Amino acid sequence: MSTEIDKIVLELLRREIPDEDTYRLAEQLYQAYKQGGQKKVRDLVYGLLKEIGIEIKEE
Amino acid sequence: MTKYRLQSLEIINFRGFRGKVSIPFDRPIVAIYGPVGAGKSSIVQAIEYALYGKQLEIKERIAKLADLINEEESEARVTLTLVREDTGEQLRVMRALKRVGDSAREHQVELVIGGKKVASTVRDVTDIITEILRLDEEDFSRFILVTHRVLEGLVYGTSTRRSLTIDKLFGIDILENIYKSIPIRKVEEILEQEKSKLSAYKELPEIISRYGSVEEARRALDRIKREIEELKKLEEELQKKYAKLIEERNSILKSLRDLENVYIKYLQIRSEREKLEEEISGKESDVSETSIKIELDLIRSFLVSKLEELLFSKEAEELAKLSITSQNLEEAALKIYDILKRLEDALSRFDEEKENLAKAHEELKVEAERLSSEIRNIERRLRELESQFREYQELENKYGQPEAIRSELERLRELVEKTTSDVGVVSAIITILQAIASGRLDTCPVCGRELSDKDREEAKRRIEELRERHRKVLDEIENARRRITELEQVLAKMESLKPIVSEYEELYTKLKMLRENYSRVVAKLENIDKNRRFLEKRAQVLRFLIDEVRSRLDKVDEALTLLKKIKRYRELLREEKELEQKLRAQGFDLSRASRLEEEISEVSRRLEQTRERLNALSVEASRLEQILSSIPVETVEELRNRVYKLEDLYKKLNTIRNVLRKIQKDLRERMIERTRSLVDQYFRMIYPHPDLTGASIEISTRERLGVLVSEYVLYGIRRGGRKVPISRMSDGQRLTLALAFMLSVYSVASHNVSFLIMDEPIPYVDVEVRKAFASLITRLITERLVSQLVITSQSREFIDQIVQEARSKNVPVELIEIERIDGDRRVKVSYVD
Repeated sequence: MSTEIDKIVLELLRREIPDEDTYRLAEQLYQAYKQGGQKKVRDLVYGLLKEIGIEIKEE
Repeated sequence: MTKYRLQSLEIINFRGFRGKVSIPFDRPIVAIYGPVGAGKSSIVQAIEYALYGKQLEIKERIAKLADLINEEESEARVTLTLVREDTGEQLRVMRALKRVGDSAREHQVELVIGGKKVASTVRDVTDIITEILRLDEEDFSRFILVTHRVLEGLVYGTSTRRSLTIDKLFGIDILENIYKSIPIRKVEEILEQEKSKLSAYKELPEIISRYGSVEEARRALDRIKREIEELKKLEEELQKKYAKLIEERNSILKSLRDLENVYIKYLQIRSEREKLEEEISGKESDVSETSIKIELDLIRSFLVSKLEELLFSKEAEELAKLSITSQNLEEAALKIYDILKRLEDALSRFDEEKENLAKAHEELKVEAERLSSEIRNIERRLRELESQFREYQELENKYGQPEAIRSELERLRELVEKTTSDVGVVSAIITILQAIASGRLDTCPVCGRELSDKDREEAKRRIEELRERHRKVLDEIENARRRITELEQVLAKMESLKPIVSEYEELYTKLKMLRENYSRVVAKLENIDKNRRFLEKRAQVLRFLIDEVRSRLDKVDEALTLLKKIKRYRELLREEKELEQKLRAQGFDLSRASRLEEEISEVSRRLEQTRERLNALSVEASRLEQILSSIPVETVEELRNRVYKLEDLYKKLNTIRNVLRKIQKDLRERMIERTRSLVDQYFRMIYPHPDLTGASIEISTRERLGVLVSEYVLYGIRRGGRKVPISRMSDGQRLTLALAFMLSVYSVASHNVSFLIMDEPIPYVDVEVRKAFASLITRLITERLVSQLVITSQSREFIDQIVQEARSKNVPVELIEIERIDGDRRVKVSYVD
């Protein structure tokens, strides 16, 4: 069932997000949550901020 | 059907259970009861662990795997046996855990199906079980395991909590969780900070143009800071000096005793007098009551004569009656101002009237253009029809009107007919006469008399006569026929031209009428133009008059104000002298006091200036500091680039969040599409009363802070189709609906499990609700919605109610009682068949 949901969600993300970069990010966020929950999602965004030059210290 | 149900569980040293405990699952309802902490939930966990092993850890329902081993022991073992309902084939899974330091590991696993060992590694066993049951560990906890958290969320939660609970059951709560996990506010905050840095750069060109360069601006900042320091010192000094002077003044005032008020009044008068002196200085000789009176008289006369010309007789009369004296100059000026105001109002009315006339003029102009255009069209059409109309007229002149032509034709046709018949008779007579004349007849064919030569001669003569007459008649007929043909052609032509003639005549009449209208409109336009010119001229003269008089009157007003000030100045000067004399008479040193006042005033002025400068410099220093502080860190391009990237990330995250909401709605709709009919079906099966005839679930969407948010709405259906939302239902109805919904989710999952485990499903509800719930779960078995139900509860009363309900419906129950005696657990199994 959850595999089926994953498939549907990724298909819908693909359909709703025409921009390839944004879709990739959405997919990464989805997989991050699957792997490690909310913390992993936050870490992913903070990682992107770090690439831009902004360092976030976890509270 | 490849469905599996529970057959038995064997646990050794599992959680609170020390040693070996065997639990059979022999009846459709297995009720496990015992006090809090007895180990009811451990049995449920043992089932879950046997099936999915250490996956259980991920769900954070146990701290770590080692906690599954009894704390007094170093090894634990769980063996679960399931049985396939259609074939009776057994599936036995065994997992053994061994403590290693603080943690634990699965050191032995085994899966035996139909007596054959099919797997013995952790991964293989879990994978095969997942495949056979068509359920992974997440699905198991969603569909098979019913906890009070889930039921409460459905039954008593807010609409948001209910939606999240349903999302969890559907396995789509991940969308809400990701939505909430994206730290969008943090990104927004950072973006704003970076943008504010960038805006500091925007002021850089202005700073450079003002100070020359960044370096110069830095130097200027240093200078400003130094000046601020100096000014602060100066402010302090002046403040001290001012305080000292005020103290001195207070000591003088103190020494004056009774004269204190006199001196204060003297100071006030002197201050006011000095101010006035400054204002009227050099203008005293410019103004007098007489000169003002003369000017007002002149204005009045000028205005009266002009107003009469402009037909403002009432105002002219009022002004003529106004008496101007030296005592009422102000009043007279106000009266003239009042007249001016009325004239201004009249001017506004003129303007209004002019506007109305202009509007009417515009409308009439449009009408005239419309009429003119219509006239041109008709004239053009008349020109087109002209030749045909003339042709008709000529025919009419020549042949008369069609009616007359028709009568003539009638007459001619009758004539031709009659004459033609006469011609026949004449021809017959000629034939007879020819027979007589030729001698072929001896007797008269009419009377039978014998014919003589004379008769024959007479016959010849008559033949000639008749032939002559016959020719004439034939000519007449021929002429008449020609005339008929001609008239017929003319009539046909006239009839074909008749519609054109009618159109021509109608248009001609219309043209006449339009020309008359056009003339009237043009006349009105001319009249309006005339009125507008008149009004314009009148308004122009009035405007000029108002401007002229107002300008002169304003000067008079200024002169009157000045005159008042001069009078006041003289009064003050007199009062000041009197008070000065009074003070001197009391021995007061007025010159010392005056010097002191001057000094106070000077110090106060300097203090104010210093503070103003200090404020201005502090603002500039703060601004410079803010701008200059961000400059050395990085170039503007680097910062701009970062802001651009941040904006891009922010935009992407926002898009993703919005899409997640959209997908959430989409998925929710898909999921309820699958379950809707089942919810209704199950509800009808398990709800025993007639007041609700069905149930359903739908999605409602509303806007929250600009984002569309969807929510599930569970509702029952009354007779007649009226919907009753779950929030307005009784507790029993809510439980039934929640259970019907959970069963529908259980069914659509299409797994191979036929049992349902309820771990303390309703711990905090009252007796009546428990009773209703006991009846409900019994119906799950009797209606064959599930074939096996395992339920745990700490309430003996609830278990008794289940037994009672089950017995009344002939459903066998297995009772498993867990007791805690001296830290050990004892399990007692009994049956109610």
